[in-house]
Order: sequence, then C-alpha cells, then structure tokens
Amino acid sequence: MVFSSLTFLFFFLPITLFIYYVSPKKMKNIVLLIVSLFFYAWGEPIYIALMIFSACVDYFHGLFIHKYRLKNRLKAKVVLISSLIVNIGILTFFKYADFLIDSVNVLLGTGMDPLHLSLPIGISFYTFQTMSYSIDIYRGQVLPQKNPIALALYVSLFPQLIAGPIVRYQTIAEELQRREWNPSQFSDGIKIFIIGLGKKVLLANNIGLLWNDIQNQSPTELSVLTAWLGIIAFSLQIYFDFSGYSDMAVGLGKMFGFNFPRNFHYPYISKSVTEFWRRWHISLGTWFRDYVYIPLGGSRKGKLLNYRNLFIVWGITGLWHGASWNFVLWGLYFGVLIAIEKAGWLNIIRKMNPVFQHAYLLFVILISWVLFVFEDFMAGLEYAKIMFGLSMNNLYDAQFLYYFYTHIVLLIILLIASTPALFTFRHTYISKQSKTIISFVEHVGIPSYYLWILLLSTAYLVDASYNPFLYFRF
Amino acid sequence: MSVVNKVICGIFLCFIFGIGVSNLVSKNMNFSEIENRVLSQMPQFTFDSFISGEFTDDFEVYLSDQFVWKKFWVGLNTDVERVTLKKENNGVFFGKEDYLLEGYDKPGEQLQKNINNILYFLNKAENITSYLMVAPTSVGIYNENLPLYAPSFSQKETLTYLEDQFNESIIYLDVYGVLLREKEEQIYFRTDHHWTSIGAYYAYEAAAKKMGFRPYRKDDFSVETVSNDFYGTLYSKASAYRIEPDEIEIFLPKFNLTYEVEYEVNDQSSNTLYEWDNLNKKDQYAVFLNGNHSLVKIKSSLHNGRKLVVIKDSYAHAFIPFLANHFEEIHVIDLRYYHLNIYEYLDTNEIDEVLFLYNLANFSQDKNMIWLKQ
Amino acid sequence: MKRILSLLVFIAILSLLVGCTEQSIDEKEKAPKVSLEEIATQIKEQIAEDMKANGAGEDVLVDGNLQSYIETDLKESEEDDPAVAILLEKMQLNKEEFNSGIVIAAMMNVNSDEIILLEASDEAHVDKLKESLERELEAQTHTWEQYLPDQYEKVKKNIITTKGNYLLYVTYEHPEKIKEVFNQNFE
Repeated sequence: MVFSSLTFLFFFLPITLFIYYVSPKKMKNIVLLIVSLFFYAWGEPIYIALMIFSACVDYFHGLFIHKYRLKNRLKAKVVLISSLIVNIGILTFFKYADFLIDSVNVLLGTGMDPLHLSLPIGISFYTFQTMSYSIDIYRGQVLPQKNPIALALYVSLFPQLIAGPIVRYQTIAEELQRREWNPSQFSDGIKIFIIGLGKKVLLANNIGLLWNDIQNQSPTELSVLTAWLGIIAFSLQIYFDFSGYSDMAVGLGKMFGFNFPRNFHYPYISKSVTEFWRRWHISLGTWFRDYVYIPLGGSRKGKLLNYRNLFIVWGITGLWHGASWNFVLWGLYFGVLIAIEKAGWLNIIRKMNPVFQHAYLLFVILISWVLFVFEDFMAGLEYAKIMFGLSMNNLYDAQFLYYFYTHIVLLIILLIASTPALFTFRHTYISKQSKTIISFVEHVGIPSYYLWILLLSTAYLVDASYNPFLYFRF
Repeated sequence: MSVVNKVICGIFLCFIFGIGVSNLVSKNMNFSEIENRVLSQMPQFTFDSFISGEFTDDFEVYLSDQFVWKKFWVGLNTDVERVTLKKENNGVFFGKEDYLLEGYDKPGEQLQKNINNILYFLNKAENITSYLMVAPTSVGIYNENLPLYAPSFSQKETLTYLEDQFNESIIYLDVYGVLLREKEEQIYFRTDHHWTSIGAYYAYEAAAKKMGFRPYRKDDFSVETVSNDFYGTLYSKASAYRIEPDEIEIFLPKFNLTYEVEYEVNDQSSNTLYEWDNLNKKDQYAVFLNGNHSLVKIKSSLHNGRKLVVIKDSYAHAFIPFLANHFEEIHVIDLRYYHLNIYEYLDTNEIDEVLFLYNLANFSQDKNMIWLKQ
Repeated sequence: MKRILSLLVFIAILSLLVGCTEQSIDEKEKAPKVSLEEIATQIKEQIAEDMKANGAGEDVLVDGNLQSYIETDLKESEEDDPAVAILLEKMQLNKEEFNSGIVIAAMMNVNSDEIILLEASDEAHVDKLKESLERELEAQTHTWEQYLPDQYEKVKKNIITTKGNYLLYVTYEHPEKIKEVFNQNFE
C-alpha cells in the first residue's frame, strides 16, 4: 500500500489509529505489528514470508552476537558475518540477480536466463535497517532486543517500511519498549504528514506529468529548452516525491509515538555537492558513512586510500538505487565530484559569489539526474546532447512555450517549496506584524492552509488514476 | 497542545474518519453517467485473489470509483487546474469559445498500414466502384481555438499525403476545403468528437457530384433541434465542468421517402434512421442510426437500383441519413465488430459500390482495417 | 555452544537457499502436456453454460460450435482461411513459435469477448507470444475504449496468464471462470 492512496487515507489509517489507541498499552506493539504486516501484505502478500524470515534471522543473530561479544570476539564476528551474508544475500538475490546474470552474460558471452523475480517492496530499506541492528550490537552500541515482537515491529514498522527513512535500531530502541502519549508530538506528526501528502500528490505527481510528456517525445523533436525543462521537471518530481514520502513516514511515526530522523533538508539550496548529500536522503548517507566509509578507514589512512574509499562508497550508493549500470555510474559521478571538492575545489568556490555556487550545484545535479533517469546510457547521452545543443535541434519551439506557460504557476510553487522561504517569511516578516495579523495568520491562516492541502490532495487522488510511485524500484 | 494544534488535529481526524465512514455508508452506484462507464463494485474476497494481489487492486479501483462526493472532488480538481493555467486534461484541450479539442498526433505506421489495407481491397475488388471520405476532426478545422502554442499536427498535411498515396486508384471525396469554408457554422460539436448534422450535410453536398447524384438543398429539410443538453465524449474525457452543453440538430426530409432499417445482429428493425430513446441516455449521438452496430441495412423507397456498402466509423452515422436519399440499399459495416469476409458479402448481395468513411484521427489509428485482407 | 552456533548459521543459509530454489522451481515449473483443443472445448462449455444461465436456448453449443462465436485454429485450419493470416499479422505472431493456437471470438457482434489459447513450441518463445497477446489487448483497448462502456469493462478485466508453455488470453464477462478452467488442466 502507498500512503498517497485513498485506501490508505480513508480506510487503513483511520482504522489503524482507532484500533491502536483503544487497545491497552501492552497490546500496542502487537497491534502495530499486525497492521504493519497487513500493510505490507496489501498488494504483495507473498514476500511477507521473506520479511518475517529476515526478522527471525536477525533476532537470533542479535542474541548470539551479544552473547559472544565480550567473551569470544571471533565467534561474535562469525555470527555477525553470517548475519550480513543472509541480509546481503537476500538483497542480492531479489534485487540484483538479473542484473548480475545480464552482466555476466555480456562479459563472458554466456546465455543464462534471467529469473524475472519481482522486487519485494521496501527490501532495500529493511535489509539495511537489520544490518545496522546486528552491527550496532557487535559494536556494543545497543543491546539486542529480547522480545521478538518488538524486533519484528522494528523490521516491519509500516511508516518507514516502503521508502524509508532508514531508521537505525538505536534511534527507536527505547520507543519500541515504551511510548508515552504526547499530544504535541501527535499534532506535529499530523502536520508533517499533511505537508508530505501535499508534496507527493499535489506537487510531485503534477510535475511528473510534465516530465512524462517530455520523456515520451521522440528525441528528434525535442527543442533544447524543452529538454532542460524536462530534466528540471524530473529533478523537482523526484525531490518532492521522495521527500514527501519521507515526510509522511516521519509524520506517521510521530502519530504512533516514534521519532524518525529527518530525511531531507532542502537539498536544492545547497552550495556544493558535499553539502547536497548532507541534505539529500540523509539516512542513507549516514548509513553508508557509518557502516562502509568509516570502517574502510574513511579519510584517516592517507589520500590514496581515502579516494578509494570514496569510490567504493559512491559506487555502492549508486547501485543501491537500482540494479542497473547507469545507477552505478550516477553514484561514481558523485564520487568524482566529491573527490574533486575534497581536493580543494570546495575551498575555491567557497570564496566565490554564492550565486555561482548555487548555479554550480544545480548544474551538476541536473546532469546527474540525466544519468539517473535513463537506464539506457545511450538514451541518456542523446538527451544530454540535446540539452547542450549538439544535436541540431531547435533552441525552442511552440511545444516549449506551451509547456512553459501552462506549468509556470506550478513551477513557481515548486521553486518556493524547495526552499525554506515560506518558513522564513513566517518567522521574520509575519512575526513583526501587529498582534491581530499574527493571531489571524496563526489561528485562521495556518489551519486553513492544512485543510486546503487535505482537500486538494483528496481531489487530485480521486481525479487521478495517475499515482505512480517512483521509489518503488529501490 | 496549543489551540491551533488542536484545531489541526481535529480537522485531520474529522477528515479521514468522516470521509472514511461516509464511504462505508454511501450507496454503491453501478454506472457513472458523467464518466460514461461502469463503476466497479466491491470485489469478492477470496484467499487466492488476496495472495495474487488481485483483490487489493480491485479494492483500490472500487474505492476510487465509488468515492463519496466524487463530482465535488473532480470539480475542485478541474478548478485548480484552470487557476494554475493548465490547458488540457487527458489529451483534450480546453479551447477558446468553450471548445473542447482533442489533439491530433503525428500519425505513425498504422496510417500506412491502413492505406495498404484499402489498396489491398481496391486490388481485390476490381469491379467495385470505391469512394474514400476522410473527414478532419474538429481540431483540424478550428485550429485557432486551441490554447496558445498547443501542439497539434496538421491534418491538412496528412490528408494531402493520403490523397497522394491513393493516386486516383480510388474516388477521393475531399471534404476538408468545404468544412473549412463553412466553419462559421456549428459543424462540429464542442463537447464531442463527432461532427454535427450540418457538418455532415456540407460533406454530403461536396461529395455528391463525384458519387453521381444531385444533393438536396438545405431547404429540402426541416431542421429540428432535438436536444440542448448533450455532453459528449470529450466532455467526459476531460472532466470539463462549467462548459455549456451542445445542441443536436436533425435534418428531416420534407420530401417523401421512407426507409426500412434493419440491425442485423439482434434482428431489430425500424422505419426511421433515428433512435429517439437515445436522447435520454448519456451518449446522445447514438440518436443517429442507433449508435454502433456491426452491420446495418437500410432500404429506402427509392428504386434506382443503386446499392452501396459503407465501411465506416461513427462519423458515418450523421452522414448516412443524407446518403440514404440516393440509394436503394445501403449496407453499413463497421470493421471493428464485423470480421467476416467482405468480398463474399459484396458478392452475395450484388453490391458494386463501396464508400470508406472515417474521421482522420480514427483512420490514422484504427487497427481493424486489417479485416479487409480476407 | 559452538555446535549450536554452526547449526544456526547452517540453518540460516540453508533455509535461504531452500527459499530461493523453491521460488525458482515454482517459476520454472514445467506444465504437463495437455491438449489445447481439450481446453478449448471445456472453455466453450463454460461459455455455453453462462449463456444458458442468461436465458439463451439449449442449442447454443452444437457439435462444438458456439452460437455467435467463431473459432479459428491458427495451425490446423485450411490454408486459404484468411482469418488466420489476419490474426497472425494483427498480433505479429510467428507460426514457428507455437505448436497450436486457437482463437474464439465474436465475429460479427458488438461484443468484445475474445479468448486465445497458445502453446509455445519452445519455452524461449513464451515471452514473445505474451507480447503478441499484449498487442492484441492494446488493439482491443483501442477498439472498445471509445464507446460501449459495458464491453470496454470486459476488456479492462482482461486476463493474460501462462502455465509453462501454455498461454491464455481472456476478454470475457467472467474471465476468472475461464482462467480456472484453463488452470484445472495443469493440476
């Protein structure tokens, strides 16, 4: 099930909230576990077995790692490795099997048949979560969870199940045991959820239609500016889609008493690639930093190793996004940029005009999305050629003008929403106004703002059969 | 918790619980007139259908089909789209003067296939006199009503290409010019993808000479408005609220002629070319010849020995009432539903004239002309 | 303790492998050899039953001919049956790729019912045949989406399914019934 569906909003969520809050304290975890499994089973029931299997494996591995951790380091290590093998094995098998088969076929000229397994939803997220669980126990940062239900709940907790954020066990370890009803947390959750819903349904889906249109046109008929408009549309779509989804997850978490970390923090206002990745999909970045980059030695073992580590991390970060070579390339592209920034470029641009810094960042990000969105590398190359006027296409045409003026309102809204402008406006401008105005904004403006997002999102959901969810592939 | 937060919580909870419960208690509908489609019903739960994911898919469709106050939501959506300068929905443009116009895409390979299918026919049916009429759709004529810069491929270009391809192997009935000339009149519906009676009349007038008869003049008919609340297919497709409905006019002959209409499939027969009951249904265009049938035979009281087969799409429905005044028999065949051997049919019924009548959008895309290749 | 540990690791890996292989066995399961004609007959009986339930006369199914439907055998028909060539071209089917094929469709009714049965000549061709069926679905969608909502509804409910080398395409009022008839042959 996806959050941005009528079924979730008006069927699953109210029922779940109701059952959860009327059930006695002791039962709350069980209730949440059951609804989470139901949530997962909705649409793809078979793989629920896989998730339960994964939870069982991690439960036992956790206990044993802890048992040996102090007494017998080697044994603990063996169990840890076994846990990692299982998790990575599951992920590889279900997500990368065909990719590996195809790659081997191409390299060795063999003719193995691909398996055509469908990707279990959320597998990239929950396997990463459970790996962090085992590793953290091994490192002594957390104690293993003795209660299997609580652990199963950690793995399957529905708000973050499908598209993250990747929540480390230690973040919610305490909340898994004990959650206090906290009204302000609950209302925060609702607000964050509504914002996320709006981002996904009103912004991402609508700009996605534009990208869809442009992508479906034959490349020979695209004008240069249409190509740019298209990739801008895609970058806005993917940001609002993914961050909207993360917001909904965080919001839902709060409604049920969990505090998940924030996953996006206005990435498009960054001034460098390094900063961008501190603001984009934060939970994934920190995961790779803590569990891959630093264990490899990070930047402490000399320049050469540092660069090697960067490339390893970025290669697999890319691969994590999808089982295709273009994603690897996309990751390495960022690896190269970050290496260049580390090598001194960052110090140079920091002294320059901020306008230039933003322009630089947005330019390299737009190019990265071209790599990202075209699984077929040659198609991506062709698209990039059009963008840079190397394909003899027109600079602009009627099509571009049409797209531009029919989407201008949406684009302006998107641009404003990609920055903290509204937030700043409220806290610097409005707060200086007279009391009546402030009170009007706070008591009428804000609630009606949320109400309108709800109304319009519902209207768009009812109207549209168009509700694809981009991050299902990962 | 501050007052504002309480209010927001209240709004949210009332919203999801309220609408959720309303959905439960509201009655299920079978058919949506406005969307012109059957609505799905609550799927039956079985273990197998749940495991395969069919149940959940069906349930989601069911919920969005039967959602409460759907008209309100869709209306709200349309209004917001208008406010944000969106000019189309589902490939239908909101044109000027309340015109809904369906864009015409550059034709692909299907156009050539269809041309070849007809060439195949011409080759095989040697002794048959064949006519071809391909009517532009409204966007081809009212191009200037499209929103600024809206993309639509030139229909004139395709029509010229068509004519060239046949290279006089068929009697080509050009109607583009005459429709363009008469565009001041309401020759197309604003909310439907068909032409109107008057549009069909001009086409008939233009085709008459090449088809070898003298057309009746407009005064020979009494024009009657039979509906003023017609919302057509484009209206449904674009969910275009706040647009005025169309009128349907019908040309009834003042001269004396009777018809016998036989709908082959269910052996219905009738003595009129119009099926008035359909004016009370959603698809009022079906008033002409009772909508889509695979085979319709029309016998007129005329005795000139001329027999014609019309191979067509629904543009023919408004056109045939004029044509019927010049032929003893007209057999109307729709290749979408009629898959039998056409050559045998011509043979057994001793027919030696065939008219192909399509609108250009269909002619560029329809995949059923392959049934000519018997 | 060591033993328990190694046992556990072993079980974990084993169960993973078993889980995977089971999955792949499922996927690759070879269907037993069944006769397409046999299935077609059963399907026709099912349709006849439904027609009778809807008030049709007793004579809807006579000598294997279903009233108002036409059955085309894509392989066995006489050479000059043009319907075969048309169907092959329409779906872009290659005669080499299937051993037998049967199409049951309404031939001159305003009725979107269409049932196609195919047996691939080789497992490798199943995907290609499936593409052909999807092409047919696209064509049907295009034909029916414009008017006649009740007929289009059937097209929307279309089912394409495979069992080993056998493929089934159903556009019908109750596609699941036909699918069940089809599946029963492989149990």
